[in-house]
Amino acid sequence: MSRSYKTMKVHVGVGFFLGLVLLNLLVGVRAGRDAPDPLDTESTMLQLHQKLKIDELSAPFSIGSPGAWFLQTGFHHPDSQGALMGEDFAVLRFDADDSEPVSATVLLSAIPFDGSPAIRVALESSIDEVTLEVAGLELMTVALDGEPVQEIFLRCKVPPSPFALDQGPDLRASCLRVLEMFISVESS
Amino acid sequence: MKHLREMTKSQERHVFLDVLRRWLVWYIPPVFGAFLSVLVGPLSGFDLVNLRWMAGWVMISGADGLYGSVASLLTRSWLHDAAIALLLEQRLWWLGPAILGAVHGSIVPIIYRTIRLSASQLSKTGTAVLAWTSILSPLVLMHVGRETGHLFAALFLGLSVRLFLKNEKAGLGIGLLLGFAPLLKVSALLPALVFGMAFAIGLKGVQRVRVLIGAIGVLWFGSLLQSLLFAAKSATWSQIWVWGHLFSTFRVGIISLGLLIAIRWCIGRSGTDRSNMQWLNSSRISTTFLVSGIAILTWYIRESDSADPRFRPPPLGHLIRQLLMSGNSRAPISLSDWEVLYLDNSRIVLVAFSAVAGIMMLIHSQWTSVERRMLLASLAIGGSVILVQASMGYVRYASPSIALLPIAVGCVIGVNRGKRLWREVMLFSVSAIVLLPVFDTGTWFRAPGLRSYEGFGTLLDEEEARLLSNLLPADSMVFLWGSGTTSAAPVTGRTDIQWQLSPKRPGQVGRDFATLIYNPGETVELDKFSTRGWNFEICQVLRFKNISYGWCAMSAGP
Repeated sequence: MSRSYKTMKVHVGVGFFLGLVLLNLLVGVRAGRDAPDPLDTESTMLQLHQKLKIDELSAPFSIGSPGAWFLQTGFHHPDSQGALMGEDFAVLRFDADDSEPVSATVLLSAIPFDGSPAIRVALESSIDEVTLEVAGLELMTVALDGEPVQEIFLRCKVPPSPFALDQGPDLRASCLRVLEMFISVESS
Repeated sequence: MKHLREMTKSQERHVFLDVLRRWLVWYIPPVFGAFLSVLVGPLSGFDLVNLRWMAGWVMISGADGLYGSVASLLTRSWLHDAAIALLLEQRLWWLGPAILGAVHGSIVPIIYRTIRLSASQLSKTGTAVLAWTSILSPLVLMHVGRETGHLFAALFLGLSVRLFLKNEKAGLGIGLLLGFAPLLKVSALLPALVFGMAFAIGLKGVQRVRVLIGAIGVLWFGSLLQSLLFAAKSATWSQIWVWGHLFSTFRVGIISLGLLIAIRWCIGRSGTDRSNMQWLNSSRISTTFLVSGIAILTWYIRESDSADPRFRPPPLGHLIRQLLMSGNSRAPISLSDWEVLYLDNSRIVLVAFSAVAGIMMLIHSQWTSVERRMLLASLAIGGSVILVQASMGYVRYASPSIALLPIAVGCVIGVNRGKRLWREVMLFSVSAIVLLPVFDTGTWFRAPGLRSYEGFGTLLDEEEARLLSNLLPADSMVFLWGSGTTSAAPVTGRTDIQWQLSPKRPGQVGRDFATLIYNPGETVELDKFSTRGWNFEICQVLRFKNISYGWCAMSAGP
């Protein structure tokens, strides 16, 4: 009985190792994704470019809406209301396709800090700069140069996060929330 | 004749049950750990995966990379990390997780033996079921085979408790085993301190000193060995780094010699009778000492801000909620809220049983030496969880202690002098309370015990994952930088890519081109790449439904 028990243990050990190898093959096949073809990469770049094109003259920044893709660096992951600006400098980028955009208006909401009712926000384009003391909801408009691809820059001083200040559990630092953008184009 | 045949049948049944139990306790747990680890797939290392919970926050910095961490041999001298990195660096991706899973699974037999040693009146089957709760509580199960330090530390903490309960004259051995835990995982230092206090209080005479010398000896010589390797690499011998502190070589020599003499002195002393601190043997005084020690440590760490700076001590209200909460459905905003999202009863059970152990020692003083050590061990296991939570509010650092939950439970039930039926009912009830959440969810193998969080099914859908994958060239190098970005590795499922978790120069990695994935809300430190010789060629922020990634194609500068 003792010998057969030992033999069984050896069999189980060998089976265990083979099982692991088999499992590796199965899981590896299931989980491993093939490396992309260069053509796939090319079409993905085009796909990304398409996401920057503006369909309508109003673009909400809420998650899931096409406008969310206009949020470049400096913004946290957007939610249903829009996106929190997480750094002192943030960028909005869009492509107006064949149109000639002449101005962009951004709907934003200030996040006051340290008892101050308002925060100082600057909105810049290649030809214009606007600075405002913003308290609550505000519309800010900046002139554009008519080129289809536009970059708009936002500046404000980001305070430490509520978590760092012991004022709440939110780890995200932010000075303002951007909700929506409205584009005016040259009428033909 | 008939009687003889019946006896034989009975014996056969007994032998069969014994073999079954032996397999259940000794062989199946390591096999289970190994298979589970391989089953969750490649790129499932704990600090890389986190798809459905704690996304980002637990991996703020310093995650162990599957490929990149082998490079840490140059700058970090942790032998354990180096060994693990070498293990994971092999091209057989499943080998590392399988071995880690098997080692983690062996916590079960160690705990089974520990309970059997001290509480032999408990049934073998009940003890076996209870022992399984060590790796099947949700918090511990999600670490099995996927992380490299916490459960290794648990293994050595468990072995030290086993020896503490088994032999009160083995102070040096207990200390040696205890010292390995923080050597393998620095965050296990807090549990090791609490356990060390309990051992020093629970043993007698010279054994108290032997525990301390053993633990300090392992910590010192373990650290020194790797520091010497590091010094040899850098060829600087005038000063040596040991545990983050710079010592002159002369001082290192003096400390080492002193410790060697102390250890030699310990080896010749195995008695327990010579003690001038007999008063400490009282169960009431020893409980008061241990509880006070934990309270002072907690107070000191909270006040001095000397815990891991990535986590902050929670306010008292949060602490109580963390210790007693078994899960809720609040929207996850901060780390603490994520932690209470999943249903895990192990903490509340552990805290409750430790409190019972403390109360039992306070109200009753007539305990045998073994019973007193059993209760002290229970108190220390729960007390270390409270210390970790109170100091950092971060439950993962308490996972080595939570893995020892069955010892705490077994010891408290084991010293109970009530009816056998009552003890068995308690044993199975507690096991069920801890184990049931594991079966609560259909996706247990990905995030065991996690209650599904609405709207957060998978991080990326099929199309989004393909888009991201297509932006990562074949056999390329990808840097993951910033909170939340390490999830890009498992969501793409790409095993041809060399993932890097820290910024390195093109020359260091031998590449002229690389891709950077960063957190678009935290770009301040991207200069760590531009100042290391990388040029950003094209950048775009990818706003997926559940997560945003910043993506940049980089080339080596002139």
